[in-house]
Order: sequence, then C-alpha cells, then structure tokens
Amino acid sequence: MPSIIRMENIVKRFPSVLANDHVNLEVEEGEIHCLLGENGAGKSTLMNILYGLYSHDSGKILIRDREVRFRGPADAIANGIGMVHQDFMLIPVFTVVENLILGAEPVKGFSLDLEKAREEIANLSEKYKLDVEPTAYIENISVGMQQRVEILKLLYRGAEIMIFDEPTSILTPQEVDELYKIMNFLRENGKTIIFITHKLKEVMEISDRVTVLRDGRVIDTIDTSSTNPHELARMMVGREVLFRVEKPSVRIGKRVLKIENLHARNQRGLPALNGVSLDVAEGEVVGIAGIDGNGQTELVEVLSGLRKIDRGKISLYDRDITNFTPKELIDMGIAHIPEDRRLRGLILDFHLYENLILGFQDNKPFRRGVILDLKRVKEWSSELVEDFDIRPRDIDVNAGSLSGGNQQKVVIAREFSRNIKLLVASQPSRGLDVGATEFVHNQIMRVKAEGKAVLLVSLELSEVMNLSDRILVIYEGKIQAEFDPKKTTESEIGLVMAGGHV
Amino acid sequence: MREKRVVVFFVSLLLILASGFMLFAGGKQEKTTGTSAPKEKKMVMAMVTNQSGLGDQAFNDATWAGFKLAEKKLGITPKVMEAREQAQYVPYLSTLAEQKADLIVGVGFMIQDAVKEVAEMYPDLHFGIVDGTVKLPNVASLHFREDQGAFLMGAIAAKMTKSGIVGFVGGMSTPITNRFEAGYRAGVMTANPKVKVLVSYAGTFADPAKGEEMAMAEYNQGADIVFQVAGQTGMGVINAAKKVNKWAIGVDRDQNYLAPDNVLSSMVKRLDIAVFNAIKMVVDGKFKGGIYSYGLKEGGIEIAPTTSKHVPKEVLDYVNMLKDKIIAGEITPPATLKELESYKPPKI
Amino acid sequence: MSRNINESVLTAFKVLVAIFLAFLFGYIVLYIMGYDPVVAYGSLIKGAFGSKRGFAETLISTTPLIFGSLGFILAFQCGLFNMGLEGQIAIGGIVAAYLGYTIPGLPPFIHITICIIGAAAGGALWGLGPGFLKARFGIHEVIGTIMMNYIAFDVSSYLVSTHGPMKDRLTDMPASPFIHDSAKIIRIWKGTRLHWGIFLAIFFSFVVWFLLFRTRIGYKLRAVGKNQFAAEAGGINVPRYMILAMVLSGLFGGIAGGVEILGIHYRLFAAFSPGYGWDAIAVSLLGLLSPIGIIGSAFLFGFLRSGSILMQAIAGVSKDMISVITGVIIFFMGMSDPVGNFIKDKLLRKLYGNSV
Repeated sequence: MPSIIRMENIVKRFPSVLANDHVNLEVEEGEIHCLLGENGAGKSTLMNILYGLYSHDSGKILIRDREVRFRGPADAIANGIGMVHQDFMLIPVFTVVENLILGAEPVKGFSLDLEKAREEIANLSEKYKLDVEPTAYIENISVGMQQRVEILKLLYRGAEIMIFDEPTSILTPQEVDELYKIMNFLRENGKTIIFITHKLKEVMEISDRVTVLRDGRVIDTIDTSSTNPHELARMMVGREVLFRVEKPSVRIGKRVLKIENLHARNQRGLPALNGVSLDVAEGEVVGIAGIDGNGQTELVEVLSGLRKIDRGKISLYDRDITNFTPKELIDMGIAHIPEDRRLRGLILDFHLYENLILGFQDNKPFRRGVILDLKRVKEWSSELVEDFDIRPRDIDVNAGSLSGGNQQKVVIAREFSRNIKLLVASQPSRGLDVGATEFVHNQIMRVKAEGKAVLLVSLELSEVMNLSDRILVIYEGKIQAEFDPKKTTESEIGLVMAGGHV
Repeated sequence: MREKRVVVFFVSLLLILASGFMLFAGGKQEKTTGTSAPKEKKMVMAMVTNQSGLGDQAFNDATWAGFKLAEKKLGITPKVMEAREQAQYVPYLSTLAEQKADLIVGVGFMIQDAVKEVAEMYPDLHFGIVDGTVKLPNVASLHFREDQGAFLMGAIAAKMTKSGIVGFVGGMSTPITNRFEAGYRAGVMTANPKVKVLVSYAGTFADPAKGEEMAMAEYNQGADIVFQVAGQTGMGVINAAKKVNKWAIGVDRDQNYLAPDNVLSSMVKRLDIAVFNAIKMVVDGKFKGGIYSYGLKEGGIEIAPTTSKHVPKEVLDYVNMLKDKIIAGEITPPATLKELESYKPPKI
Repeated sequence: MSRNINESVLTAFKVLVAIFLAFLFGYIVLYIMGYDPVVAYGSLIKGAFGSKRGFAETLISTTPLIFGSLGFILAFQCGLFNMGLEGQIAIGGIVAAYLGYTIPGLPPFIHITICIIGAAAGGALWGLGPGFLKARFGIHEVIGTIMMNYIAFDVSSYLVSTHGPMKDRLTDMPASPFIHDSAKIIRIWKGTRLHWGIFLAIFFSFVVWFLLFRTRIGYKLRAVGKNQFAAEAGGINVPRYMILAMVLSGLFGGIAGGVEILGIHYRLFAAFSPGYGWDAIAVSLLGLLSPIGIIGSAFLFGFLRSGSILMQAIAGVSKDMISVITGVIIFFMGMSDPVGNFIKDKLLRKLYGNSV
C-alpha cells in the first residue's frame, strides 16, 4: 500500500513542554490508523499540526509524496484532510444542512440554494449509511447523530483523510458500535482514517495499524494483528501495567457507615433515592453498580452533605450524621472524590497549594488566627505534590492547567492526606488514561489496606468488579441486589442494572 | 508575588507616562501663551452654569446672553463652563480663579456655597452669583423679584382660564420656586378668587420627561394653563401643552418661540441686563460687592412682549395696571409661602 | 518563576497599550472635531498636575475612587457584581453628615472615627439587602443593587428637600447643616482641599489585599467566587460568604461617601458624588481587579477628572470627551487579549525566536 501521509521529524515546542519531539508518522491509504498514547503524549498536537491548526517548528509533511505547508485548516481541507474534534463545531439552532454549507454556501442568484445542498447531503448520508436527517435541527438530535453530522461535513467537503479525536469518549456503547460500522464502511470506500485514542480496547477492535506515542516521541508503529493489549499498554505507559488490581487481604472490621431507608430528591425535585439501605465496614470496599441516572449522584451528594434528605438515617460508627453540613462531614473524617472533579473537586483558577487545602482551610496547622498560614500551606503542598507524583512539581500553577490525571491526583492527595474514616469515591477514574487509572485504583486499595471503609460508585462495571468486596446494584433509587464479585459475571449484574431480576 | 510585580510595573510606567505628557504639554503651553502675548489684553469674564447647562432655553441661556452682549458692547472675552455635577462646583470655580478671570459668575442658588468658598480663597478677584446670596465684599449677589413677575402671570392665567383651573409645575421645591408659587397664587387670587390652582414639583430641574408627566397630570385634572418654573424640566411642560393643545406660561426668557401657539406668556427675568450691569462695573473699575435686587421697577422682571399675541387688550391693560400698582408700592405680592397665607387680595 | 515575570510584564504592557491607544483615539477625535489636540491634552495635564491646587484635586478625586473600587473588588472576588456603589456612597454620606452635625463636643479623632464607622455601617447595610436576596432567594445581585440605588438617591434628596428632616433651616440650599469642625477630616495641604482621606484609602488598599490573599476569610471568599460548587463541597458556607462579600463591598462604598462628606463638602446635598460609584467599576477593571492595582488606575481616573476642568476652560472641550477616552480605555482593555497575543506572537517571536 502506498503511504498517503508522511510526517517526518516533526518538532513542536510549547512554552513549558516539548509536545512533539522529532515525530515520524506514516499513514497508508485506506487504512484505519490508531494514534495511541496517554493524555499529554502529543497525539492531539500532532494531528492539529496535520490539520493546520498549529504550525510546527521543524520537520516536513508530505501528502502523496508532495511536501505541503498549511497556514490554516482551510489549506488542510483543500488537500482533502478533515478532522472531527472532541467538541463539535455545530450551531445548535441551525439545521444539519445549514451547518454543513456554512462557509461554502451554494447560491442561486442572490438566494441560497438550500434544496440542492439538501439533496446532495441526503445522497451522501445514504451512500455512507450515516442515517442523518438533513433538515433536523442540531439541538434536537442525539450526540451520536451530531458526530455523524460532523463526519458528513467532512465528506461534503470532499475529505479523503479523516482524523477522529477521541470520538468514543462521549458515546454510549451502542453508539460506539454504530461508529465502528461507519468507520469500516468509510474504509471500504477508500477513505483513510486516523483515530486518536488512549483506550486499548478500541485499538484492538478497529485499527489496522497503531502508532504509540509517549512523552512527545513515537515509540513504535506496528500492525494491530501482531500485538496484544499488554504490549500496547507497556509501550504507552513505559512500564508493566497490571490490569487486575492487587486486592490486599484485610480483615473486615467494625461497621463504619450505615444508611437506613434513605429518601432524597434530585435537582428537579423528583424522587431520586427511594429507600436505600446499605452499610460499609472497616477494610471493606462496597461497590455501587448501575446505569447513570439511577440515584448514584444523589447518594454521593447526600454522603458529602451537599443534598438534604427527606427521610432515613445515616450514621458513622453509630453516630447519627443525618443532614450534617459538608464541613461537619469533612471534620468527621469522610473523604470525597466527586464525580466531576472540575466542578466539585477543584477550583481551576486557584493555585495548586490553594486547592490542596480546600476543605480544611480552617483547621490546624493552616489556621493562625484569622490568617491563613501560607508558609505552612506551601510546605505541606510541596510534600503532597512529591508524595503523589503530581506533575508539574510546581505548587504555584493553577489547577486548570493540569492534565485530567494530575487533577485527579490533586483531589486524591488532598482527600487521602488526612486521617479519614470513610472514603466516598464517585467515578474516580472517569476520563483518565491507563496509567492514571492504575494509580487511582492503587490508592483506593491503599486506603482499604489501612482498614478504612470505602464506598465506590462507578458507571464502569469492570472497575466495580475489580475493586469491590461486595457489589450493590442500584436501580431507580433502590438497591436491587447484592453480589459477590468472585461468584458472579458482568452479564448477571448487567441484567439487574437494566431493571431485570436475578 | 505575581500580583505585586504587575502593580509595581504598572504604577511606575504610568508615572513615567504622566511625566512624559507633562513635559510635552509644558513645552507647548509656552508657545501658545507666547503668540497671544502681543495682542491687546482683553478682560476675561466667565460663568459656571448650574446642572441644566446651556441650552435650557431659560436661566443659563439668559445669563449667557448677558455675557454675549458684553462681548459685543464692552469687548470682553466671555467663557462658559458647564458644571453638570453639583459636587464639582468648587473645582470649576477655582480653576477659573486660578486662570485669573476678571469676573466669575455662578448661576443658581445651589452654587452659593461654592462661590463663597472660592471667593474667600481669592479675595482679589470679583465674583457674581445669580439668585443666591454671598455676603463678601468681592461678590455681587444678583436677586430678582420673581414674586412680582409671577404675580402678573397669575393674573393673566386667572383672567384667561376657561376651565377655572390653572396649574403650576416647579423644578425642585426651593425657596425661589416657592417664591414663584406664592406670587403666582396671589396673582390668581387677586384677579379671580374662584380659580383653583394645582401645584406640583418635579424634584429636578434637569428632566424634561418628568416635567411632561407632571404637566399632563395637571391638564388631565382640568387645568388649561400651566406655569412652569422648572429649567430643563420645564421643556417637558411646554411639550405637554403642545400635545394637548392647551396653554403653558414660560419662565426666565420669552419662551413663545418654543411653541408659538401654546405659550400664552412668559415671565421674563432679565438676567442678561443684571449680568451685563455686573460686567460693566468690572470693566469700568467700579465693582462693588453686595445685593443687587432687580424687580419690575428696575426692568429686571418683564412680561414677555409676545404676550399680546394671545392675550386680549383688556386683560393686558388690567395686568399693566397691576404692574403699575406694584411699582408704586400699592400692592406687595407675597415673597414666601408663609406670606401667602396672610395675603389678602386688594380691592381694585 | 521566570514565566510569571514575563506574564506580568506582558499584562502591564497590555494595560499601558490600552491607555495609550485610547489617548491616541481621543487625539484623533479632537482633531476631527476641530479642536487643537495638543492644547487640549496640554491643558488636561496642566489642569491635573500644573498647579498645587490641580494636583490636590487629582488626589481628591482619587480618594473615593479607591474606596469605591475596593468595594467593587471585594464583591467581584466572590463572583458578585456590585452595581450599587453609587447608592452605598450616598448612604455613607447621609450617615456621616448626620453624625457629623448632630454630635457636639467630641475630640476630632473620635468624632471622625464615629462618622466613618457610621458611614461604613450604612453602606454595609445597603449591601446586605441585595446580598441576602442573592444568597437566600437567588435574586440577581445586579438587579438588587440597582434597585437599592434608586432608594438611596430618593432618600438622600428627600432628606435635604425643603421639608426634609435633614434640611438646614438657615439657608436656601437643599442641603443639610454643616458638620461640626470636630468631624472635618483634617486638610493636609494649605490652600487646597486635600485631606487625610487619600492616605486612609491607600492604607485600606493594603488591608483589603491582606484580607483577600492572606486570611482564611479571603481564601473562602475567593473560593466561592471562582467555583462555588467546589467551595460548597469543601465545606464553605456559600450563602454566608456571598452575604459577607456584599456587606464588605457596601461597607467600602459607605466609607467612600462618608470620607467625601467629611473631607470635602462638610454637608450633605443630593448627588454629592459625581458618579464615583460608576467610575469605580472601570477603575477596578483597569486595575486588573487587584486592590493594589487600583491605586494606579484610580489615580489615572482622578487625573482625567481633575484635568478635564481646565481642558474645558482653556480648550473649550466638553468633559464628555473624558468619558469617551475612559470608555475607549476600557474597550481596548477588553480587546487587549487579542492585541496582547498579536504582540506576543509577532513581535516577541521575532525577537526571541520560537522559544517564547
């Protein structure tokens, strides 16, 4: 197969980091080529260079053996390159047709020739089995459909080479299957696809070849059929990755958390928790499995004091803590990893050292009368940054400038750094890559090993299966069943999650 | 740390910038004074307006007319500064004092405190105040007998009303507007005791919309003639008269030109004459502080000449008769609302 | 660390570029309107710096602008927009004047302190209302504060109107009686109106800086401002700090008004503040919302305010021109990110190559 794209010795330097360090990439015509790497490995930077969004500092780009230099995406599009970004660039109040013709409106006299465009788009949609209704408004269609509109946009502009930037991160499992079908179909029709991801499963399922990047450098390009997830993970992370977490054997101790017949409403005032009862003991990890929107969010909010309950009782070591404030719960020793760290866990515009004390700003040793003892805060923060391997090792940067994994490390460092009795972790590995996920899981196991109680809420069934001692399935605000992870299967749990019975 | 650096940098550069500007300006300044030096030195006379500013068609414009007259007849250089904010009167006046203006006139009693403060600071300069009193040897206080003029307006209104109800719209309720009100109501009472007078105050001299609203309310209550004493606010009163095609009575200047078919008469305050006289004193080197009172007798208060357009001769004759009696001292219109209470209309 | 220095230099540079461009724009407008821009700007600068009195007036205008901006910043750091400073200034003035002429026979220092505390309390009360409505019922603070402005303006003009309870019976002016000498803030420069207030303002700038960036209260207040959801999860009582921020904000508005009465006017009259509360918003933005930065930007606005009088006297240019210039400064500030990035991209890259 002839190569359609050759990027040679691409170097791109940002103020604080070398994002691409003499990167070589060769993509063959008509293949699905995966770019695999952890967050911050330089995948997106490389593709943004190819798409003309960034200019590279040195190196060459050749398309069909002809050297090109793009000054902007318009040049890339003219050369048949298109890109589907993570954030869609669609106008919600416009129809599909109106969105697609933006910038290249077909005219008839002085008016837009919408009819002609609609026909053209309908034909394309049919040809590539995209199933897009051209006259639908963007705001009324699903996320998966919007993504297909983006794909249709590339086709409409005549793209031959299509870049997908982590396209599955926002899709449901069914939509992911749909997407795979479309990608296969595009390949059969001669299109070349570059697929950016950090998920090994996806690489194995869809790609022909894979290029692994780490720290801005290419580790290798290999045929997918000749490799396996373990090898890819090692290449990606740079060390051996264990997919099963080592569960420490800990004696299950006294009951820590007891929830009895808990009732609470959601944001819109509708019942979300309808009589949840559960308990968690010392050294135990209790996992809550369920499909999103069955009361998990509300349960975690109640346990962190952010939501008042209607009925029921919560106690910690037999002490009633029902409807305590967040501050009281923090002081009681409940640590909380929120499901949305950017919203609930961190203040993105605050320095790291300011984030690392959020929740105990009023406690010793940081409190000195009315003054916040910044010297102590900074000493303490420097230690945490070191202990938890937060990068960069600079407590003066803002939390918002960190990668997702490092942001989560900040939350974990803060929450685990004090004497806790109970950890409430909600989707702790959401949006994290393999390395960071492994780190988070190990930290949770460390908490367990210390004899603390852990309540783990996750939408990823495999995570719940791997970490928990007991699994509770939540459905429509009630605990439906309890499983022992050693004696059950994912499909058995999945059935209950969907509302079935054991 | 970062914050501190930003600030230090910012402040110091600002100062450098400012001093650069100063040098630049200083050099230029010399040049302009250099070119103007050989010219014959004209006297500079300045006024500071009240909040209404120029274009109020009344108070400030009338004072300014006196300055323009003096420019033509006495060859002075007039200057005007529009102070839109009461809080800024002192800096305005003292800036002019620093420029060594030969006469500085403040318009309106609101500026009284400020004129006093600055006149004390600059005892060698001459000041004037219109409608206010500052008891200093270097300040001429120009007073008007609004009670006399308003009295005549009241008489005209009472004679001309068909509905038997007339109105009055004041700006803010101040001793001077109250003086207008007292004279007006006494005039109405004298000419026809059965006529009812509606009185309202807008609370501002600078809001025509409010004036229109107030006037509309009075017209709706049956008034067919409304006397406005409200500066810029009064423009709204005249607009209202135009809209409902009823009568308005103007103030300070002959305001008939604003609505020729709806302004019945105007009580003209000859601010121009009073100010011109004050300027002339300075030009002649005979300036003396003190109170200068302008009434019908002194020609400082007049019935607008256009009054004859709409007012029949017999009414005019009646009003002129009242005017003569006031000048002769046979009638003394009340100058305050308190005096109005005990006012008894004379038998004529 | 070196990255931070570059950043701050660039930020300061952006501010200066905005100011420079605004003056350039004003220059062109003056020229087009038929004035001599050199004479106009010359008199502007001469008015503000050319004489002892002019320079004093510059500092006199700077004083309430600093206080007002401190108020604006305190609310803004908590994510709230206090549009009610002008009303809080009015209330502060009312209270200061009332305490100033009713309490006789106190030593000056004590009398002044009482008046300023009273003014601060009045302003704080005026901030408390909208703060409470925001925290408890979610009513937008912009609406709340603007409504409170109208109440404050009408109260103050009622108090000194002909039959108002604070009207001075001895004069025609719609104003209160003069305050006692013991309540007058001492003037520090003979022949000018300059008083101690300017030092008080600068002192409080540092106090506010310390409060915001060195105390636990400041930390929590800023946390609520930057992300109230994370602050809530972090055990911070969000409504309480919103109310506190509005109270502190109003407090400084009140001090601005009180000091203006006690230091300059010595009596209350309606609209004694020529829009300091509104200018404070622009001053805060230009000062990059830093309690120290606003000392510089308040000084700039004070300069424009005081210089514009002579500009009107000599060049005949209406002081509205100054409003145009300040408006354009803020406009260019808003644009300064694109402008700054352009400079960074094109200029610095040329100078230092790609390492920038």
